[in-house]
Amino acid sequence: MPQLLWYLLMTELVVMATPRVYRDIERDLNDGTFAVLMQKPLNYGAMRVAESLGFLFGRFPAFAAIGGIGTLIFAGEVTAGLRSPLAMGIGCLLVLLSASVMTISYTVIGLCSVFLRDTRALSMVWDKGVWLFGGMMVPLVLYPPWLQEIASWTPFYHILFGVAQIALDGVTLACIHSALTLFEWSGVGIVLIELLQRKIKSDIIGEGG
Amino acid sequence: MKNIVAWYATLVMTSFRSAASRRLAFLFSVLMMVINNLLYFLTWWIIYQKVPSIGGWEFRDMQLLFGISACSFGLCSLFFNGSRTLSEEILQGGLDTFLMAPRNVMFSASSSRCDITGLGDIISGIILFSFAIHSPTDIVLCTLFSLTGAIIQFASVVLFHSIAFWISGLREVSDLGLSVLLILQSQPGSLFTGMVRIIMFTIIPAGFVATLPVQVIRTLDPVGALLAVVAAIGYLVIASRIFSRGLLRYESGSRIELGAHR
Repeated sequence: MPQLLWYLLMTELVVMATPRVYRDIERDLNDGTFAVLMQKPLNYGAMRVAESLGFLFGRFPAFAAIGGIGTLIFAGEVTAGLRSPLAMGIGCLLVLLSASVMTISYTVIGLCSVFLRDTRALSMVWDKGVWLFGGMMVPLVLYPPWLQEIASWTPFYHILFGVAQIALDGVTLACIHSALTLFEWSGVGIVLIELLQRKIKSDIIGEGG
Repeated sequence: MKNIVAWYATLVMTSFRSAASRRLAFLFSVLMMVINNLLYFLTWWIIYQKVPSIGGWEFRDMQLLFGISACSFGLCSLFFNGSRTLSEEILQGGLDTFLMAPRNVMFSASSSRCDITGLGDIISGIILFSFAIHSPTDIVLCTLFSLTGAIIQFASVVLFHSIAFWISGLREVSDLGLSVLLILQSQPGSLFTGMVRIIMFTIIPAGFVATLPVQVIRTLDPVGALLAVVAAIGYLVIASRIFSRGLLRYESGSRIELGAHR
């Protein structure tokens, strides 16, 4: 049971600490800030990612401290996987890495609002993907084998389960594999942001003064 | 009466056309909502692969529960989405436009906006129904309860947002009311007992939206069906009365807006 509580803490930390940057982008689009910023010699996507990562890194210590104390009270002990300071540190870094990938993905979703007008449905699907294929509600080991296989091919698996399994098994090769895969997915996300921005710049027509 | 229906149909069609004006975005949003709901339901499917029933609720009951919840939420989003911003309109003087027309303010303000993703909810609800329906009676009952569910949800949202007439700055509470309603109506009814069950059939009527309908479809109890219909009418009357009472306290924002009314 303590293992499961610490597992849940890690998954919740990833989800809760990630800023919903797509809402900011959608707001920028609706109030005209987006059109103004896109004309300036700055990379809008990179700016939004950097700003959100700032929020993430700023609030993460508070989230981790409050969540950690709460979990310790309910679980009564620190799970074996996170007992050493090194494992705890690696666990925090992995959560931050996951949340960073989530931030990049939310930026991609936000930029899609230029074409979709409302990204609520898309962001909900992404969150459900994280929820389902990341094993947030039901641990992935309870899934049928074919669904586990599908989940392992998605970024969601590494974003939640790959990182949170440190609470179950400690620092293992699987965690390191997940970390490396998350770097790959963040690369995919950055490329998508750049492609979307190029498409937006070529399609957008600015009028007015 | 004919005029009112024609006016209402025009209002809904106008807001629907406006929402669906970008066809690709419209289709994408609808598709995403279908996928979103089915992904959420997949979690329950996984749980039911491990346990045959949860407090007497079998997998078919969950299909019906989700089907009714999704359809009623979709209908409410499609036809009465303006109800979800009523508190904002009340506080910012946005009801002026609706007060100028000789129509029911609650209905016209609520129907002024259309959330096209509601169509995705309805489609996913029908998909879930199609796997759980056994007879023509089930089809009739599912349709009936989707309608009563939509009315109850609409009435509840109006009630939650009418708080703004008396207490300002409680927008979050109104939104929270809807969230709690949605959470309660999408869980097996047997999970809730005691005080929560009383709340489910009074303040936050999630029990009337989905829990009671599923029990009625399971047992074909005519009294239960009648109770759901009476509850829908009752909540609508209560919402209408409270909204009208609140409207007496409404202060105009002197906002100049252009609106199209027939």
